[in-house]
Amino acid sequence: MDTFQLLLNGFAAALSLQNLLFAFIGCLLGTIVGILPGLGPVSATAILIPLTFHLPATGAIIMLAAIYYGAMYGGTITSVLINVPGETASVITCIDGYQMARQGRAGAALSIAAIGSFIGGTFATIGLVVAAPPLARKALEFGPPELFGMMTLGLSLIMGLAGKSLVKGLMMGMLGLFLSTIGMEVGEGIPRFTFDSVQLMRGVEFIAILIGLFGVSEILINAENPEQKVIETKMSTLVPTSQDLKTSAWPIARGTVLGFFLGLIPGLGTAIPTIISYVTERRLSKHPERFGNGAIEGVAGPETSNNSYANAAFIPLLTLGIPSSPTVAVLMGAFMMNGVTPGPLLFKNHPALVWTVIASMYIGNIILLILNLPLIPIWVSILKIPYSVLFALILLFTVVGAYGLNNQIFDVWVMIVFGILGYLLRKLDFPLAPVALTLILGPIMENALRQSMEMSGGHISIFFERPLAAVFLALAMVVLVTTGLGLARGAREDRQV
Amino acid sequence: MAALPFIGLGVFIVWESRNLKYYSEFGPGAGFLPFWVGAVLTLLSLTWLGQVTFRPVADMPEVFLPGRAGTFRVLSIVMALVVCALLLDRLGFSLTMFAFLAFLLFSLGRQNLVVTIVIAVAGGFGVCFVFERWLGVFLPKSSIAFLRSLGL
Repeated sequence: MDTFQLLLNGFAAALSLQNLLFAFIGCLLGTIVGILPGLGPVSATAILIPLTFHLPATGAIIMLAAIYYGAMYGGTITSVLINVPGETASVITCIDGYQMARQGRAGAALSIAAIGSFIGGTFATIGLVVAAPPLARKALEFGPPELFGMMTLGLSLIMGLAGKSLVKGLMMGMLGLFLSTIGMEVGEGIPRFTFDSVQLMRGVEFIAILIGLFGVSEILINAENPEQKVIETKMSTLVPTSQDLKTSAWPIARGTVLGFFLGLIPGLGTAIPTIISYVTERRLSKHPERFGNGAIEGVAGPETSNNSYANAAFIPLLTLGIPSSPTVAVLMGAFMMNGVTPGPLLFKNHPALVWTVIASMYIGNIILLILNLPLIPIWVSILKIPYSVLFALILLFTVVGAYGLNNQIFDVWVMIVFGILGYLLRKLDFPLAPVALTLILGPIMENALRQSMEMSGGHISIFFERPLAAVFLALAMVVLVTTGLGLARGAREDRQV
Repeated sequence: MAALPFIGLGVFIVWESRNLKYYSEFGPGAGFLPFWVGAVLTLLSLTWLGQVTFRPVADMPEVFLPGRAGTFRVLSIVMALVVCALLLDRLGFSLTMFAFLAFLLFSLGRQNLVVTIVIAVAGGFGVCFVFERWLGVFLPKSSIAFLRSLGL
């Protein structure tokens, strides 16, 4: 069956009432998550996983994926209207979006952001349809050495790009790898770091760790400071002028391309594509002085790029099994909890599921467009819930989320311990993304390493004799060395200044 | 100071991995990955220790300790979570969460009594009802016979 036929079948399944409902609920929850400051997409996706336990695998993944890309839409609303980004990808939108709102042009800013997000998200999904099957077919030729090399490259990108300090990024990567070794070792069936605990025998629950590291720690950080007052602006007409549309056309086109290609690189994070897009638009503008004072291009470009990025980030996940961000790692966990392993075999073994999920992403983008614009006043009213009420409710759902994973209070303890650890690590400026990503990729990497060594009879030379594996490992070294040198140069320049 | 726990963890991992097989006839054993993870973590932690010792300004976060009120709020939340985890098996989900929400909303959130009770009842009992009836996620019941007989 060719790709087009598979996609059509996917649409037929995604348009069933049940799957449409899952996509709708996911988009709705994602928008709320994006709007609410203090609840990021990582923690929200992790917390909401128990909601999907009794859903069919396809429905569960459709809903969780919709939460992820829905959050990218939702964050814009608060950035524009009250100058508070709902999530990191919307930080840059505050600059010009809020200025537009102050000039009475909030409606135009939100409309352009929604249109750009829709175009970016839809084109990235088309890119996913075109690029994913051949990439997955190529990846099927990979043996364990190539897989190990590819994972190493992916992890080096993640750790290298994750923060201001390469050392701290690598330390967090090692912490995640260590956590992934806890439990019964698969190869020999030997318990590792279990301290005779029955609960630790099956390993530490990955989702409970993430709820703690990202969700609880975020609440603790926010609890330090009392609520900040924000200035509320009035909504204007939602219809952008023809000049707005004309001015935004190229920034939307550039944002789509930029976000798509950056989505293929693991570890960038959602903020980077928006920053690059903003800087690009300012450089290309004939009137760069307008930026920061309500330039619509400063909203159109970044908002498009972040949605294009979010959808393109599914390509490395679905074809190679590499999650490009902590939220995508949670989605990978959700796939695995439903008995589906993302990677090259996904398109071969579960074509119905994968194509339905992809088709649902097109539909999800349309649902978000419909949800976002007419319902803006309702979304804004959610913000009137005081944070002091909100944080208590979020904590309630973190407990339900952690407990619901295995019906064990042990997982609630895991969440609390990692919540405190995450809080301290955030205070010390450690990036948390590498922990999430090495935690989920650790067992896959270890398995690939063991199989490679079995193939070679214990000779490490197998990684240098197979060209693709050697290229991946060499690139990983290049990434780490250049990142390290770059950061060292930056630190030296800072000291000289 | 913060580097020391990481150094300790790295050394501990290396030390513990000695009890696992480093290499088997088929390739890396169960101790192979932990050994290298521990060794690299120790090395990186020492590097970080060196960096913060010789370049303290560039590497330290701007604000580490919150003010007194902030510290109180953070500790209160942590304590509430710990007490909640301790009580979940004894009092059951609904009652524990009712108390948990009531404490957070009334003492930290400074909400009035009516709002506190309404949200705590909805959060404790309502969430339990929704998850158990509609979503099939079973939440802990009380180990006290009397409370259990009330369905809590």
